Amino acid sequence: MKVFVTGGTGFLGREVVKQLAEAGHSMTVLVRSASTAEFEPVEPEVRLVEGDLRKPQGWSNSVQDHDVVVHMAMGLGSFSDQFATNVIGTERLLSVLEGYPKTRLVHISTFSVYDYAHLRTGALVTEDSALEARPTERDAYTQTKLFQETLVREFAESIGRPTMILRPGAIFGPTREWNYGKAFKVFGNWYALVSPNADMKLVSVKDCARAIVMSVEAAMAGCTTLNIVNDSGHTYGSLHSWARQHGVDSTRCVPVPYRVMELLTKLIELFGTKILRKNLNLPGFLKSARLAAEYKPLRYSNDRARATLRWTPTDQR
Amino acid sequence: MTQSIRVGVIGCGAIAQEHFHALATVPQIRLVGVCDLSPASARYAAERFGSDKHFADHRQMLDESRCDVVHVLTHPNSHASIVADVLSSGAHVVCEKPLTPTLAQTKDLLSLATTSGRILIECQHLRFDPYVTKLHGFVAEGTLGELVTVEAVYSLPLSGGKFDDPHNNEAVMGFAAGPIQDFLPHLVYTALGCLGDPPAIAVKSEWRNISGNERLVFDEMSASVTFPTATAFVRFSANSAPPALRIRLTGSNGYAETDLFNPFVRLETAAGRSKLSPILNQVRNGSHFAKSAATNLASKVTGRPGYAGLALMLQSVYSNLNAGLPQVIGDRQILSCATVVDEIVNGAQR
Repeated sequence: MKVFVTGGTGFLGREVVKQLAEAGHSMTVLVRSASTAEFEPVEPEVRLVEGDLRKPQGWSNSVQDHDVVVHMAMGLGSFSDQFATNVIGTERLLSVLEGYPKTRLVHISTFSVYDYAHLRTGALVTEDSALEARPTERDAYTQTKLFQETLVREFAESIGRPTMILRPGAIFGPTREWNYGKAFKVFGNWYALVSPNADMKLVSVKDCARAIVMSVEAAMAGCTTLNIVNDSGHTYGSLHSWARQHGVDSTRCVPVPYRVMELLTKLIELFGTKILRKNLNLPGFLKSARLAAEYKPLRYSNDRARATLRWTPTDQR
Repeated sequence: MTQSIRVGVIGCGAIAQEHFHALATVPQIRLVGVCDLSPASARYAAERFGSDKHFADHRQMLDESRCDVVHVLTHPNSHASIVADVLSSGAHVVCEKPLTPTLAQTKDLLSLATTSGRILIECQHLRFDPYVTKLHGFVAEGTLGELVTVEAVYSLPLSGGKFDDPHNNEAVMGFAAGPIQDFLPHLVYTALGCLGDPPAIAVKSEWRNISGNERLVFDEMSASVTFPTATAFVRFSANSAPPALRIRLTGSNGYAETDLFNPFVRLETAAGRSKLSPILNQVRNGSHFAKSAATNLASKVTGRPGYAGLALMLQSVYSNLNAGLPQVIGDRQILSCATVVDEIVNGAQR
């Protein structure tokens, strides 16, 4: 197949390009700068196109004759920087795709779009769980990715374009270990391990990339949404224990139950709204909606990905 | 019951987010339309900040939304034509700085506003920053004596960010003096404001590129602006960190300074008759620092650091508009800033 890739130089993107090449697909990868795009020599079928996602006049013709677009490009930094890539960049990509009716779309969304604050502890998060209703209480990533997914879904449904929306969990792999489950430093070698029994909704970069390759190869119809996440049971506590047992982390941890942090954040918010009468700009784990998104003890379903793609996570820590 | 002022916004980018948050603090206005060339940006702004409608064409918004005031927040090269369209629609304009890239264009736009009988305000929000107005207070009360120098120094590392992006073709990248020119109005109007916006006698500027980053064109700028009894020094450094915008006033009886990115106020006055003056100064400074630290923390936790002046500016603009009073940022303030900026930029040889 011929695949047009955005975000191919990122942590996930490099693995996707590698696996797509190994599976025999040819690719056009949109990169900001060809000189800084690093790909391993295993990918002879990779053509680079330099350009900015927000300026399609420089790359839109390159999408022609491609069977699938894999859209992974992601903005980092301030709200405006994230909005520029995640929303405006996606808007431009979708307008280009309107001109190529045979090109399908595999869009990489995120687990961050769910509404965690209103889920009961222990609830199962499936693709049908409610999406965040108050995104401004979360971070710029959630706000922009949620709006991005809305644009993609509206595009797919309005013109009936076969589209796969993948929502990966927290992607881990070499150089990205999510601090081995630790939340923040307390003192010296001691760290806080918030909500040690909560599932981390992890997925390895190799498994996630494999799900994307399988989505590219799948016979798509309509708009399908899939959670890409490990089986439940891999918690903040178990990851830290694993790291200590394997000698990759020697820190000590103080467990802080989720309920304690939840109470603390509620009290701070009450102080802000009732006494100061303002919304407070506080670090993520001190805001209840963001605390819930990261640390509320929940279970996560990958049943639909297993059934639709016959995908199974293989690298579960 | 008083009718709400109907407000429209053209351009929903980064600075627009600050305007939307600031507008939320202004009573008796209604956001009736937002517009951006990116329909998704306009739609997001409309949903997030509660606008009646959103548009991708500003002329359509002007036709349909019947705005009383329009904020023009697009890139500077587009201001002249969009502001002209807004004025001809009969609305007042609040426009982001720089009003236009050149003094000649700025004069033309101000004339057009006068002819149209509408108000045209350049967004000079640092004039309203609480720490800048505190410095103004020292001048007005005579605490510093006769003002001798005003220094406004902007440190902001520009390498490695969006100005290094080869795909960035924003208007500011094509400015005669490069992206620093976009920051100049803040330095100039803040310095001029401390002196009461007098006409300058002479302007000298020196522009350098010491990092070798050609995309920035220049990365250091230093200028002096001479007035009959005082001198303003404005500097921009793209090579120094952390980000800071330091203002320092020196008078015949003392000096006062602040940093708007990490606010504090320091006031030192010449020893008076009392032998205790040096000690009293230390105690006063200590209490200022402690108070500033607490205020700074509170503003970071509860506000939008760096943009406190924008909300205060818009509150003043709309309140004066409602009351039919003259605006604090009038043609004199806009022209004095544009004149000095133009002369500083003339010193830049690309």
